[in-house]
Amino acid sequence: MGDPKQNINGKAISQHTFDAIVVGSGISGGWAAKELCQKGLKTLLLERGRNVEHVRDYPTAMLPPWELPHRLENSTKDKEESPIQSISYNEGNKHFFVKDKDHPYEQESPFHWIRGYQVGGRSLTWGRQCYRLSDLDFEANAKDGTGVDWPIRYADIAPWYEYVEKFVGVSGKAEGLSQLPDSFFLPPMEMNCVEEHFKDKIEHGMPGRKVIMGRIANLTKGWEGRGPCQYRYLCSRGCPFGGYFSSNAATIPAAKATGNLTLRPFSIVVDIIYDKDKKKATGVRIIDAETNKTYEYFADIIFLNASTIGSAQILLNSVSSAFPQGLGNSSGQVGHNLMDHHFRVGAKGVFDGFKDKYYVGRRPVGIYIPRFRNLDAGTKRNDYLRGFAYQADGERETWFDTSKRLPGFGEDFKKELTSPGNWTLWMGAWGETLPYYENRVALHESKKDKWGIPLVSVHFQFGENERAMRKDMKASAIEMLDLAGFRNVEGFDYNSTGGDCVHEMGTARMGHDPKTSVLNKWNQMHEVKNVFITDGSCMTSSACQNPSLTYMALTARACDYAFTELKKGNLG
Amino acid sequence: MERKKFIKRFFLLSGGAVAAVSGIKVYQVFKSPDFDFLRGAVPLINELAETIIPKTDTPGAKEAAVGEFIAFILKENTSTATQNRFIDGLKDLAAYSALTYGTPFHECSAADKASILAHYEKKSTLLTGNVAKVEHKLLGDPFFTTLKKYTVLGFCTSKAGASRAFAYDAVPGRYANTDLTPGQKAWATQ
Repeated sequence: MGDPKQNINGKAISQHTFDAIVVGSGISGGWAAKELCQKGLKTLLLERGRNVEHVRDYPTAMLPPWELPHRLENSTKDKEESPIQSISYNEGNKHFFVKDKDHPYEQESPFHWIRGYQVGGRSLTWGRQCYRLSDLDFEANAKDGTGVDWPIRYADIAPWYEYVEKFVGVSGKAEGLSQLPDSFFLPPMEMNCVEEHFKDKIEHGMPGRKVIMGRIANLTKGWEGRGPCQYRYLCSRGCPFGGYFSSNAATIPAAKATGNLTLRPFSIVVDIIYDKDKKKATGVRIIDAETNKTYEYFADIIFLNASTIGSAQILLNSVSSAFPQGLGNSSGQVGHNLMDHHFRVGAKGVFDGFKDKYYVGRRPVGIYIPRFRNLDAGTKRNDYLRGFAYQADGERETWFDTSKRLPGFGEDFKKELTSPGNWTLWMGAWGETLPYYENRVALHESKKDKWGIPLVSVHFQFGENERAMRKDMKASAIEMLDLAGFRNVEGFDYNSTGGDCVHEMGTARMGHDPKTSVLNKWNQMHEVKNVFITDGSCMTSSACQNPSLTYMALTARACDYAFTELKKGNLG
Repeated sequence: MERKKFIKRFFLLSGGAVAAVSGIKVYQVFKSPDFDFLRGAVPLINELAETIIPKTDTPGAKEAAVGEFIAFILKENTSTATQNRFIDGLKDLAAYSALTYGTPFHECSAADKASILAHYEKKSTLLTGNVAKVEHKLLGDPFFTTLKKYTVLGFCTSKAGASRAFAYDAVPGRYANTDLTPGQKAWATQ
C-alpha cells in the first residue's frame, strides 16, 4: 500500500492477467476461445489483424456483379502489390487477404503463403469441406515407416469430431465408409442429374469406388441460430445469413456470450515468455500493430493457434537460455515437416444428354470421390504410398466457359452465349503429401518485418511420391470420365506450388517421443506443459482430407484436457 | 519461375521473329498508351461491342455501357502492351473503315460493320498454339481478342445483361434439379 509505484504495477499486472490466452482467432483459435470461455476461464483472444464483426464487416456480401467495378477480376495494381495473395482472391473477397507488400516472407523455393490477418482469420474464406480422418490415416506413418507415429487413433478423436460437428453444422450423407467415417450430418445437398449419372456409372462399373455428396459446413437448415445457406455461393465474402461456419459467425459470438472473453485485435505476438524456474510459460509479449507499443499478458495456459507457419514462427522466436532453439524445440522439429496437399490435377469432360435439364441455385459444394487407393492389399499401388480424393462438379457451361471457345459475334453468338451450355463434369484431385524433414520454415538470419520480428523463410518441395501419385490422379480421372460416357475428356495438370492448397500442416507435430516430436497426444508441448498447439502445425501426417475439421476436433479435445489438468493443479 | 525463365529466353532468341510475324514493332507495344484517345473513343467502342452483342429482344452491349467499361478495365487490368495494341487497333480500325467503306464505323451498314470486325477477328487468329501464347505474353493480346473478351465480361456482369439477357437470382434460397423451360436463359452467375 505504501509505494504507489508498486501499486500501479500490481494493478497493471492484474489487468494483464487471464486464466488463458489464445493466440490467433482463425478456425482453431475460435474454437479454443469458445471452449475455454464456456468452461469458465477468463480468456484473452489475441489477433494480429483488424477486427471483423460478423455481418457488419462484410462490405461486399450483398453486391451484385455490376457493383464491383472490376467485375471480380484482379487489377494490375492488386497483382503487383499482392502477387501471391491475388492468386487466391478476387475483387469480392480481397479485403480478407493480406497485402504481400506489407507482410513479406522469404521463398527459398516457391511457396505461396496465403494469409488473412483479421479476426476470424482464414475461417472467413476457407473451402468449408469437412471430412473426418480415419485409422487408415492415423496408422499410416507407423505402417509405412514415414515420419513418426501419430500418438492418437480414430477412437481418441471420434467423440470430438461429433462434438464439434454438432455445433458447426455439417451437411452430408452417411455412407458407412471405413476410410472416410461418417460425421454427424445435417441433410445433404442435392446432386444434379449429371452427377447422379456419373455416380451410377462409377459405382456399378468400378466396384469399390464411391461418388458421394460433398460434406460441407454450409447449413441445409437453421442451426444454432445461424443460416440456413441461401445458395448464393458468395461464401468467401462473409455470409450475412450465417450460412456457413466461421469463427466470426459461430465460435467467437459463443465465446463472447459467456462474458469471459477479451478479444484484442491488432496484437502481434512476438514470443512466448518462459519461466525456467517454474518450467512453464507465463505469458506472451505482443506489439500493438497500431501503436507499435509492446505489452505483456499473462495466463496459466496458452493456446497457440497462429496458423501452421505463424505458430512455428512464434516458437522459433521464443528463445531463452532454457530453449536456445526456440520454445519447446529441443527435438529440433519445430518448423520442419511442413506439408500442403498437392492438387490442380484431374480431368474434365462434356456430357451429351440431359439437354432438357437444368438447376436453380448456386450450390457451394460439389460431389466427392473418397480415396480408393492403398486401402488394402487389393487396392495397393507399387508406385506410391497413400492416396487422394476427388472433388468434382457437374454443371452446364455458362458464358464464362463458352465465350472462350465460341468464335464470331453478332446475334447467333449472343444467343449461344446466353443459353445454357453443355453439361460438363470437372474432377480435381486432392493428394496426400508426405512429411519431409527438409520442408521447413525457419527464421531469416537478418531480414525483419516492420515490427522487428525475423521474417519467415520457407523451403518446400513436393517429392517423388507426390509426383508418382499425380500421374494416377490425372489418369484415373480420365478413366472414370471415359467410363461414364463423357466426350472430349481432357486430363490436366496445372502443377501445384506448395501453399496453393492453403492446407499447411506439420511444423510442430504430435508424437509419442519428445526427441522426435513437439506435442504429445493431447496437443500439449512435451517440454512446456501449459502450452497447447492445435492449429495445422500439430499434424503428424496430412492425409488427403480437407483438414480444418480435424483441427477443430483436436482443439476441443485439448481444451477439455487442459481444463482438467488445470483444475488438478498439474499446469500451475 | 521456370516458366518465366523460359519465356525470357524465348524473348531474347525469338522476340524479334515473333514481332515480325505479327507485323508489330517491339518499341510500339511498350510506349506510353494514348489514354486521351481511349477516352474519346468510348462511343466507337460501344459501336464495336454492340456489333459483338447486339440488342435483340434483350439489351445489347451499348445499353450495358460496355464502351465505358472497356475504357476503364483496359487501363486498370491489362498490360501496357495490351493497352497499346488495343488503342492502336481502334485507330487502325477507324482508318480501315474510312478507307475501305468511305465512312466512319458507326455510319457503316450492319453488314459492313460485321465485315470489318470479321477482318479483325481473322487478324487475331493468325498465330496459334504456343507461338500465339508467347506472342500475346510479350506483345499483348491482339486488338480483337481484348475487344471480345471485355465485351463479354462487361455485358454478362452488367445489370442490363445479367438480369435481362440472362437469368439472375441474387438469393436463390435453394439448389434443385429442374426441367429446362422453353426459351430458358442461362444463369448469369455460377
